[in-house]
Amino acid sequence: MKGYPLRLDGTTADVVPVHRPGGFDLEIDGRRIAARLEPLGDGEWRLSADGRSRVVWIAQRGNRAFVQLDGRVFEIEIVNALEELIREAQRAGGDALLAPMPGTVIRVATEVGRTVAEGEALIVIESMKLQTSIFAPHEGRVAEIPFGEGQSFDKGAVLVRLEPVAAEETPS
Amino acid sequence: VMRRIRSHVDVRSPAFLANREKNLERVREFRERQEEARFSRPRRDLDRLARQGKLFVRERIEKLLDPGTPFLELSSLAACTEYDGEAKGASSVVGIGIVSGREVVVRADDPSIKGGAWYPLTVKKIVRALDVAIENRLPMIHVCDSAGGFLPLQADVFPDRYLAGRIFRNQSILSKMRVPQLSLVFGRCTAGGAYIPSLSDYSVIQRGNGAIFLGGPPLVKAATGEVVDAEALGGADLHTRVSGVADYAANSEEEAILLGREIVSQWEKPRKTWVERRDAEPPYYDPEELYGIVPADVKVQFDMREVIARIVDGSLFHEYQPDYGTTLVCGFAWIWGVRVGILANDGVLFNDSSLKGAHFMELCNHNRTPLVFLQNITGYMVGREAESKGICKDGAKMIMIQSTSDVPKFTIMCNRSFGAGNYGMCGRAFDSRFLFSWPNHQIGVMGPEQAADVLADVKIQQLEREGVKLSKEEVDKIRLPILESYEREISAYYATSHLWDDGIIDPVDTRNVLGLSIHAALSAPFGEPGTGVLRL
Repeated sequence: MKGYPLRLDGTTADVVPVHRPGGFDLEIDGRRIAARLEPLGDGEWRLSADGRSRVVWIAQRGNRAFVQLDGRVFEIEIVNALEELIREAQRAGGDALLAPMPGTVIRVATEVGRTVAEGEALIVIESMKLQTSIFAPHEGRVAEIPFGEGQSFDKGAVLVRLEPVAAEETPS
Repeated sequence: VMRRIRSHVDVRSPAFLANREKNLERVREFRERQEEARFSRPRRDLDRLARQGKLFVRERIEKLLDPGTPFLELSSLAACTEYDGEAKGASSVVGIGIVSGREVVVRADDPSIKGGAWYPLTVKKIVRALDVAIENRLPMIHVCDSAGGFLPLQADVFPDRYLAGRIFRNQSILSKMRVPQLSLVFGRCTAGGAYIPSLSDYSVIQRGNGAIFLGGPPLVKAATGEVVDAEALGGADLHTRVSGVADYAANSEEEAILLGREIVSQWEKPRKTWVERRDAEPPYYDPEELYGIVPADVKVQFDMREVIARIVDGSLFHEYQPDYGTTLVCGFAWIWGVRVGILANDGVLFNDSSLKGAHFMELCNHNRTPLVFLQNITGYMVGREAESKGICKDGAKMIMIQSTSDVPKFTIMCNRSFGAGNYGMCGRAFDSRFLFSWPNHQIGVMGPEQAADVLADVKIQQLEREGVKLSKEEVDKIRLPILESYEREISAYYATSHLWDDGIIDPVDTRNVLGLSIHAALSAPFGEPGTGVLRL
């Protein structure tokens, strides 16, 4: 990968824009095409590429671009390579959620063996008069919950241990 | 190339909906109180102004500002808990607005309340307005229409270092900095008040209502026996033709305001301090969702990344040291296209979180990156473990670096600010250029329960030494008044009433308020680099 990864219909392509006077060359997975994009206002653009020219509409939200071309809408995801790598690493490894401060377990919101989604609340703790929910940082299966409701723990104690979910079980 | 915060908020969950309901209620109360402070006046006072041919203070400001531009009002609820609620907005309106294309601080007396007399908190608000002008190098426009100091409370208006004299001292300092001031005189400026137009670089005085004198007609008669009317003693024609105390005379307020706008258009436009910028974009996540994120119960902790995601451009956030000192979230983001360094509490401050905060602020100082503090802090960690690791010296490092930072600082009080955490996180004493609070916010040296326990314990031990044993009822009798006074004094309204902040804001407006504040602050250069001795 040496350019910007873009994803369209589940396929990721590596795109390198090379600027030249009057436009740019696009190197897509090694193939090079000359392109030019002129603004016509209000999200309307004239796109010239590969010797052809047409009008397209482009809208962007976050890392998604929507391109309307010949009556069809293409949704292009601008892939954040760093985020992809971190997610892959998280999916591969399980990990332990540690207590940010000493305290007491108020409520256990999950159970051992359950598959949890990213962001799911697992356990609620209280310390220094603050109630804090501990969320799953990524999907996984709950392997261990060492402390039950009402039990107290030290800073850095394991509150929940997650293990990776086998690939075929991954809810899509 | 920056990653976006991944929100974990479920907008359909019962907790979200309950929080939303509570926070909408809080914002509704705030809006009602603000509306009341801004516009509700007894009929007879409004009639009196109309008879005198005077515009209401808000109309004056509206005509002064460039049409369609934002006005960042400061301390709209000043004095809301004092003087039986009489001095609405502390009888004055202060804010940052655009006049003839220039950012200026506008400060206007409100003659619809006791003739615009200055209460102690009015003076505090005026001094703060001038401090804002000095700290940010912003020109200032004074709209003068005040009866003078509120005499029944003169001891709290006149003599001390930060009381009325400070207004004139600050005006002089601002002028020395080559930052211009304009006074529009729409009422009597008597005694000390006479110095406001006299110390302004430019002044316009309205024929009829406007007058400037050290002693008004009654005082002159008492002192010298001379009988003279206000117009002859200090009116527009006397001062613009004979004495030279004022520069221009105008026949009406509207004429004076237009003349004032023309004067401002002659002023130099400040060059903004250079900071890293990029094209602004709205947050990816809807700021309205803040209502469901901020808990109904202030004791419930919440993830500050969810708040950051609803303030910064594109919800993009480069988190610094994500796995170290996790109770303090630090990182870089963009607000209205300006790069900022954010420090946000996600729990109690430990040794590691304090060190991380100090280190991150140093990075921002070296990187010319303004600092934004999002406070939700119950304090630094207590107990034997923290003390033996030196929590005092690590907290001190954070305070030292923060106090001596040369980049501008901005503080938002998001939920709670208790104890020394307030200091480390740039509370009011630490010269944030601007500090705003959300309506749910609470502030105090400790929570009401803890304070009641501590003070009751002291009393019980004292009595036990004298051989008196207290019953539970007697202990409650000691605790109750402490609880009540703490509950009253920790509220955001009490805080804003006493100008411990620059105003309460709707959480949804945080991004825009920060954007305007940062833009205004960039009118001044950054401070000198360097810091004090760090206890390593």
